Amino acid sequence: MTYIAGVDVGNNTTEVAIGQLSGKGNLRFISSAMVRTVGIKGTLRNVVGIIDALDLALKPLNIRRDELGVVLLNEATPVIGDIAMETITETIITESAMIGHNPSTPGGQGLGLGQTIRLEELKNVTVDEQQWVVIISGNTEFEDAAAQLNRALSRGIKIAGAIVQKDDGVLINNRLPQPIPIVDEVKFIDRVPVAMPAALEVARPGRTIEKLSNPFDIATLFHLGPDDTRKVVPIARALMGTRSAVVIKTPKGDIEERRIPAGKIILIGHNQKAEVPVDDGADAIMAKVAEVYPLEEVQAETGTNVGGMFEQVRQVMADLTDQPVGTIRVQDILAVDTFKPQQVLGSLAGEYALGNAVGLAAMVHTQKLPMQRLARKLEEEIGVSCIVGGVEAEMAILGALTTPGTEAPLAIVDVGGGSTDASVISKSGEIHSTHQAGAGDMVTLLINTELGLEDFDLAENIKKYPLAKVESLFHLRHEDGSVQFFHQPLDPRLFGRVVVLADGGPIPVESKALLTKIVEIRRQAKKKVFVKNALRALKRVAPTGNIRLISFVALVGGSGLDFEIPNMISDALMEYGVVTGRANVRGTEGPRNAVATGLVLAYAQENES
Amino acid sequence: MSQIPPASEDRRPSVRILACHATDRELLPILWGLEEEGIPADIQNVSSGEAVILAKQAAHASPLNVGIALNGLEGSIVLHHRDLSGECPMFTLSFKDTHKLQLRLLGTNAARLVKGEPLAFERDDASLNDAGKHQGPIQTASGQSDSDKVIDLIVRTVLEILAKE
Repeated sequence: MTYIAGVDVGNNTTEVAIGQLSGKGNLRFISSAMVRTVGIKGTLRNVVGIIDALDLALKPLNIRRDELGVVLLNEATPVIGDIAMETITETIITESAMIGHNPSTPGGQGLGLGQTIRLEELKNVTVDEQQWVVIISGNTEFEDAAAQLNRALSRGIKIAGAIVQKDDGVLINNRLPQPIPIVDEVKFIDRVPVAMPAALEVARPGRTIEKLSNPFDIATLFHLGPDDTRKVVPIARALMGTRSAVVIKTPKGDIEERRIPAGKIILIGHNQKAEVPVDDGADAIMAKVAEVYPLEEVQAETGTNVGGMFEQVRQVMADLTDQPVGTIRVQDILAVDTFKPQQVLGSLAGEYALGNAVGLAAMVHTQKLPMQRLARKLEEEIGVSCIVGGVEAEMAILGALTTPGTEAPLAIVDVGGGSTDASVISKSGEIHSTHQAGAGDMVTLLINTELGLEDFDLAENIKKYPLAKVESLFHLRHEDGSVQFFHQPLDPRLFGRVVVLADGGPIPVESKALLTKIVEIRRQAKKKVFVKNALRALKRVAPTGNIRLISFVALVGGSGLDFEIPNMISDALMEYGVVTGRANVRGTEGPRNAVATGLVLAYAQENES
Repeated sequence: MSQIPPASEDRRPSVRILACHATDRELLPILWGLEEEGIPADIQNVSSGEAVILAKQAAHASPLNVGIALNGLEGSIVLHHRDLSGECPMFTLSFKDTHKLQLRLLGTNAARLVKGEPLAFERDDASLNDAGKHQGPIQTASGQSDSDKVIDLIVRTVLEILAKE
């Protein structure tokens, strides 16, 4: 009787399965364990994690490490991915042509049109038909500001609206005889140009502005010709959905919408070669990728942004694998359309315009990761013979087949951090596998960019956990509408906020975006990457490229545990008539432990014969 | 003794403020904070009472469940909510080291507590995770880059001085 340990070192987790092999070749699984991978996959530091995992699995069995007959290591998939973002259109709004933002409490409501003037100058103007938009800096207390406005009004001066630096809009408005639209919380009030025609709009509560987000209304207000109207389109677009806005017509103010040449991608296939400019967008790129398939190598035009990105990916891979950069080749890409909030030049209240961007995930096949070296080291440490076992994809499928209710032909999909992998086993036991660029990290990048978070950890949490809104000190509403109450009051910093329900407790999302919007962005990002890639991968491994010819698809790996990915992929595969679900390795392990289990199974089969 | 009306007497939806030896210096900014957020407030003067206890009573008396109390004798200001336990108020300020801005923020937060909107925190202690709360995400970025610039400047200055020595 021998004890066998299967060990799967992944990017994130190290998993172990322990099997007991009796003399007659009967195999029985007796334990399993999972720990975080220590160090980058394939490096010697992994040994620490492996020993941890072995001990964890052996402890309940009362077996010492040196009683193990053999330790089997996976032949790790030599695939590493990286991601980048390319902006392809950019809107440059020069000078202070506009303000558009959502102060929590603007004053008054309606539309005002007049010439900008500083509050201090108001007492010097003569009474006539001129309408004024008054600029009130943060140095002036609201009571003083209201008093000065009232004095001017009583002289007969016409005031169409006000732009206020502090959060005083309601307070000032409440002290005026007639309500006027007031836009407050304008951070850079000094940059508001004086003596220029300005239009100002504050929407009713619960509404968004209507006039200043419509280019023709802006044209009407400022008497613009067709050429100038074309130019204000980006302004109108940037102001859409805001509660209050100011548009100021400055002689120098100009708007330019330009495309940024992002460089070309060169796709070299077995049979043909194609070039596609990145700024043609994701659909064009992916159509070309499918056309050129099977790909040999993907290159990028040197001296361009995308060229720089490819260089960087190859450098990272070279460092990781101790191989010269020259031998590293990018072998697959996934392009995704996205948008990127860009700060408006000379903005007055932190406005931004949305630029189009393309997200790119690249994948590199390396030569074998140095698993052999790792096995030697492990052998030294624990004094048990270590063998580098079969190919990861094949082991995973052997493990997945222990899921109750499955049989060949079976396909597995493993969405990891850097790549999406799929394998299929035919009735006769033949295995095909593929690795695709683009997976979890890409989704994190999309969430981070589209929400303008500039916080990768937060984006990662938004990807992994459901959201909720803290509605009172004692309860929150989950994104599905259900309510949860707490005995202890929640942190005041969470109050009224959208939070991510991470394992360690709720984390506030520092974004003004509504919960539904964040959910939408998260789900779209997952669809664009996970679902698209799962389909792409299955098409490549399916017999004659037809997904319908696969009967069962099992999701394995950590992504199988995600709270919505399995359902999304399942929905997408429904139309192909495929039975899709999370694997349940050995009927007990869920989507985890497939490779470790497969290693032990393969070893037992070999030693039987 | 204080004469606090029982909750049933006046059901006008407002934040209740109980003031005990408080002056306009403390009261007005709190009221402005509430006014800017559009939430009405009712003030009642009382002759005695510990601020925490008064605040809890005010919160119970308020149909909006939010109460504020000021006690000039102990020099403290307390913001309370009906659902919080008596000894654990939402915020406590002291007369001594509070200036107008903090008082106004207390008023703002009392109103936001009613509205269920994210609370406002002061810039400096908020810079960690609350910077740019009034602006979009981009503002946070520019705010950070501003402080980065300052840090950069300090680092450079220190290095220059060290180099001279």
